[in-house]
Amino acid sequence: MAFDRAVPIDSTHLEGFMKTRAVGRLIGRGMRTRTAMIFAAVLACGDAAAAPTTYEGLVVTDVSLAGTIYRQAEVTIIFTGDTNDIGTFNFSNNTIVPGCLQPQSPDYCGIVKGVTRIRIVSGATRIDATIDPGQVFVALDSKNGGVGFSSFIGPNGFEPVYPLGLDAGSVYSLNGLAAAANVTGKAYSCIGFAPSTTYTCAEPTRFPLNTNRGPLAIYMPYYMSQKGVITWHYDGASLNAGVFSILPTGAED
Amino acid sequence: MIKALHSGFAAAALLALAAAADAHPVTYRLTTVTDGQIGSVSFHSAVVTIEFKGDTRSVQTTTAGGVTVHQNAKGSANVTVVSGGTTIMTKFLPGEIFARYDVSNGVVGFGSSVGPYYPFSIDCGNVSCSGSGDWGPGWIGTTSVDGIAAALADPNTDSPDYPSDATLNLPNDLIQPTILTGYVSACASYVLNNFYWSCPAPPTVPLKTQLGTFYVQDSSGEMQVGVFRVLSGSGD
Repeated sequence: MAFDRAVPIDSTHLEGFMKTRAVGRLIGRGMRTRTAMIFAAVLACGDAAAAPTTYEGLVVTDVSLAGTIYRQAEVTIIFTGDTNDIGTFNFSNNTIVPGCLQPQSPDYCGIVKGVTRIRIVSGATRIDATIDPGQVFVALDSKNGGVGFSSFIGPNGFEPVYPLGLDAGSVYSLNGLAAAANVTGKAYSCIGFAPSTTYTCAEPTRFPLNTNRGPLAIYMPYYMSQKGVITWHYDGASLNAGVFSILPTGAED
Repeated sequence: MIKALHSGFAAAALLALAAAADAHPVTYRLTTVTDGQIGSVSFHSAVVTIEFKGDTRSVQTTTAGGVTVHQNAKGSANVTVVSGGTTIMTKFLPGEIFARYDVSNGVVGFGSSVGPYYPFSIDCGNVSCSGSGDWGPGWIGTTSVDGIAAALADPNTDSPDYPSDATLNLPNDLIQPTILTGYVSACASYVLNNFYWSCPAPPTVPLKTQLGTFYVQDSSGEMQVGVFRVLSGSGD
């Protein structure tokens, strides 16, 4: 199914994205260029009435911000976007169609246009930071039961479960990204995640997300593996848990 | 004789001082998603957090039949329910719930007069909450490790996969700060039917809060995971 409103890549659409380190790695690379095209198309497909929505992901994990590590911190990722910008990614033919077509579609849907913030609570310390535009987006893979916040970062150019992805639990009960919902799942924050095979997670401080409070890295300390090599299997290898919420406008904290 | 008595008193005083030095405020906090009702307000798939504030000196440890259980029943507890744009927060009446951690079976959560695993238990595992198996309501019989609580109870279950060092280094008591995760049970009485277990009804005697009665019940057809934390201090 082709995207019938495809537009050429517009630098104004990608302005925020172009400011990130990730975009440099996109240029000249087939898969990454394809991702950029999809990114641009998603940005262009929202012309209906605005329906602002907030997506929140909560996990307790280790996190590094501006060089300070917070252990067992309560980390909340908050993405504010518009449900009219939801698009279904199709990586096999470089197309995107408006709306969330899963589970029929082989790829997943999401929103890339929005503002991403992070809240870190560690003891009496609470830090709020805004992640630079174009790095993190909301993604739902209802075919395989995954949801969370993906990114264009790291050596692969695209990371489905970084900074935070959930699978198993009640993620399968999500019906798209438009309706209000709360689900729980096993929590991943891994650069290098690969489904249906073995993988290792890269040291996240090597590929920091840029924020207004300094470089950000989220760790995945609690998992099952064979000497650090994680074997993907149904119901995952992460031992951590998280909550993902779709909130109506103004319902977020 | 007097010298011996003095020595005895001194030893007792030292023990008391040691106990006092070890005692400190502690907070237990569990967050998950579930159905239920608080007062006259029912909720579905809401984010529910129960927080219990007490002191580490009140942690009682018992071992029976090779099973070690830590429990803390002295403290105050509150519950927060967030659903859509609505947040409800209230306090439990005194003595309604207690924190409980069966380290041998890897089952942790809050118990009450309804039962030791209700309102919430993580890694309940089966209809009797003995921790074997490791799925939430709906399934029974798997042996995979699906959370930190189970991994700490038996790190060898999924051999040749093993928990990460960070997991194995987590404290497994109700005293030191830690994080415990796994599938959540929120049911007073399960019904097992052909390998599927369900929670058909709320408890006949609900818990009591300042906003009225309170109960939780597993979301129909959904398996939820949750996070149980032990936090130093008030947890604020």
